[in-house]
Amino acid sequence: MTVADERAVEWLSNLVGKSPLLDGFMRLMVNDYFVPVGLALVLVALWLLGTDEAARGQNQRAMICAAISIGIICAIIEICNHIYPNPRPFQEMPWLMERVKAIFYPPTDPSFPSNCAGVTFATASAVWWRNRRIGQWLFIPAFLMCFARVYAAVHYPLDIVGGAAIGILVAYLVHKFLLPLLEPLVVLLLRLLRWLRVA
Amino acid sequence: MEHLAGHYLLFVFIAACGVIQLAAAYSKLWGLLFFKKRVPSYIFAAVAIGGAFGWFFGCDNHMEEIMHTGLEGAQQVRFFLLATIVAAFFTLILSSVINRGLSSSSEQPEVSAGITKEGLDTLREENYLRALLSSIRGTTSVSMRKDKK
Repeated sequence: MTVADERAVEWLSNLVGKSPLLDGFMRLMVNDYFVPVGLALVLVALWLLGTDEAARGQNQRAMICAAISIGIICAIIEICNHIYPNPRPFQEMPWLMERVKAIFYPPTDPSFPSNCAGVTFATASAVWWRNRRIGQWLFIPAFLMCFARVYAAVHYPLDIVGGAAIGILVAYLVHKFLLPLLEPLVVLLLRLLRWLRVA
Repeated sequence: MEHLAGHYLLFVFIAACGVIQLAAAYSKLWGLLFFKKRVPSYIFAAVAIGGAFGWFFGCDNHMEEIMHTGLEGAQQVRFFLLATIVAAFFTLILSSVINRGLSSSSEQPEVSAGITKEGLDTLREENYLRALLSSIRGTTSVSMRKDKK
């Protein structure tokens, strides 16, 4: 990673322990549950939202797009981690370990690209392509979670940028090319679920 | 770890029930609601979602476990899907029992206009089990009533 990256992590994580309120907020944002579960629950709500069948169909396609994107992102990041096993900031700068342990745990998998950035930004983008009104709000928790990861010194800013870029790109490609390709299957699935009165 | 897994399932189940009530109330899917009106449904949703998040993340034991790796990613996804599906089934069954008297009325403007609703839209007028039954019979309750006439 670049010197600027290291400086940014060091500077930001230096704030750990300065304010209990900020640390408490970051503990909430940084963990693997709060934001991911929140975003997934929004996807559940999207399935039901819509004034008519057409609007609901768009929301349901957004949910399908997000689910496919998340699957692809996880596979891409898994491959990237094998090809480029970049160490975490606290592994390259051991003095940061205390700060990591203060608000999170030290993950053992490679740092680049950030998995959480990929998944959260892919979810937000997938929704945004179909439903701008709801999608725009999803970028806020996505950003906060990624910011908290740098704050906790478990990611470099470049990991986040890389993960977010891959997430947004994959969601766009799924929305623009893969989903239209799968449209007959999607229509069939939605027709079956409509027959069951659950879509 | 098992303790956290059980609590995670319960957390997602309660929060998902709340989210389904919130979305159903907003979309006026009366057949899915636990309450006859939207305001109590919104209140229920707020209490369920807020309570589930507050309980799971406010409890020190959970935060300690979460901060020491907690559940594995794939396991977390599996548990989330399981809890959400159970919450959906729970909502469909309970709302059908609560709204057992709800059936499509001839006074509905869509019905009088001859528009047949499909999918979730049928739950604006009738409960889930009734809607599913009419779907299985190959006809909506709307067309059944027309036949009777």
